[in-house]
Amino acid sequence: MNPADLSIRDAGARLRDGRLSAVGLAEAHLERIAARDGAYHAFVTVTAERALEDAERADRDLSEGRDHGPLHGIPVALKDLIDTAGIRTTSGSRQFLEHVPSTDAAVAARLRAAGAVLVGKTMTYEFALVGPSFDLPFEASRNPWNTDHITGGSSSGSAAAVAGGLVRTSIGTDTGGSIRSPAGYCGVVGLKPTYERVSRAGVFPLSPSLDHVGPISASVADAALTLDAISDAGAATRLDEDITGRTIAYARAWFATSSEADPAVIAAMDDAASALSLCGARIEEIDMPDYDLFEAAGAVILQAEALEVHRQMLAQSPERYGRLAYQNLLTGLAIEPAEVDLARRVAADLALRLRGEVFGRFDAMITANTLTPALPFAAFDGVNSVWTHMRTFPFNVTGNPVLAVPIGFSNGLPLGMQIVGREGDEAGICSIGSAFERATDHSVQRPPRLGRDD
Amino acid sequence: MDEQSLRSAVLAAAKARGIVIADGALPGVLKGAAWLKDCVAQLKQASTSK
Repeated sequence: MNPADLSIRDAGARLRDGRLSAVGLAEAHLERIAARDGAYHAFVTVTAERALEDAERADRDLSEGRDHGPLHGIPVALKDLIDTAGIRTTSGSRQFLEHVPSTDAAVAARLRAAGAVLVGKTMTYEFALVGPSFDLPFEASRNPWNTDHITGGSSSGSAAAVAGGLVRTSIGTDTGGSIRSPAGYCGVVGLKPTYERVSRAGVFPLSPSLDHVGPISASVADAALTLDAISDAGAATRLDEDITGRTIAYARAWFATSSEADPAVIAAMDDAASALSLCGARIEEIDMPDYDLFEAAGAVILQAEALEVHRQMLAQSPERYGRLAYQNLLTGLAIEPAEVDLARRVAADLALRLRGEVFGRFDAMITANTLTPALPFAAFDGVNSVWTHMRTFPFNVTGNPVLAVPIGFSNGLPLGMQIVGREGDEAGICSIGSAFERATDHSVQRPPRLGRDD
Repeated sequence: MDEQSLRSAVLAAAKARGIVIADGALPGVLKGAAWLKDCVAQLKQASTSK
């Protein structure tokens, strides 16, 4: 087996018993990137020199008895919205084309302290806003399952890198679904933690009230171990638990009654609910507060906050934005402060209802991730925004942790489910996701090979 | 809010922030702004119907 395909646990075991070196593992990933990324465009910057330095240090530390934990010697990639000292961090924009931070973001520093090996910075929609764009000095990432289709975003490169086998784990950000929707479209695992579980220091903000930082990884265990390296979540502490007797609410009407829902998504979600039931969980369909209300509250808060974040650049260097991001940011001009206050009050009320009506009765909740498979690039013209339907935004508004897992395919493109937990219960949703993964084969599916490498 | 009022409100908010909206961008901005105003209307309705 190519070392680049080893899980974090398996690679870690080999690093510790001497069957594999961190340098050898880093080289395997760098070779993968060189062979495949011309088709995927997952990376903005490949940090080969830094990766080999990190790997040499990881090997030296292990040989001298300094073990920094599960990510020691493991290659990782960071969304290019996350500051890395001495490494260009563009936020996917001409505004920051030559921006080289002097310090690491908190999450980058945690990964370095955990012994991880940085192989590069991954593509993001411009400032984590909208895409794909075709007027920027970056190629849009392509879906490894079918490169004629989008990855979704905004953590587009992080998801493409994992799906394409370039890394096992990466870091993304999520303000309205930007970890979960690309994870879903690319058939990998995304973990949006509880609000403020992971430090946002040194991550360029989109909407500080809604921004989350978390992993996109090849499996639930890989995601949980990555989250534990950048936080004190303890997400990997219950991965092997039996979930018999767990109560799981199924918010089926939330997506199944939508005219936008692909029938394949509804069928795959019903199959996933059945699989969890066969694992011993007790599944009960529930009615949820109006989805549109969550989206309305989130959108008003997001656009108002994003406008203020970008106010100076919009006034001083508007020509450096791509068209989609520029237009999107300016929509916030329509929002008045009292309307933002109203949105915050409604959001707080919805969070309270979710806490009482759902998590007062159930251990977790499941619902669809995106309502369709990834759209083709041909559906986007780079001038007009195209709405890609999903059910992710409510949990940025409420702050609950969500695990996104693959649940099957439609015409060769992945479909996904969200497992939502109580605030702070990343370990609970990861145990459910892990049981689901053991009971199904969705997470071990890999995209078609490109035919010119291993 | 009607289209003309929305246009005036957006342009006034831009001017107050020192932002000049680029040629050709206004229709796209107004389309998104109108959707956001629909969101606000939903929030107001939910707030008053509690």
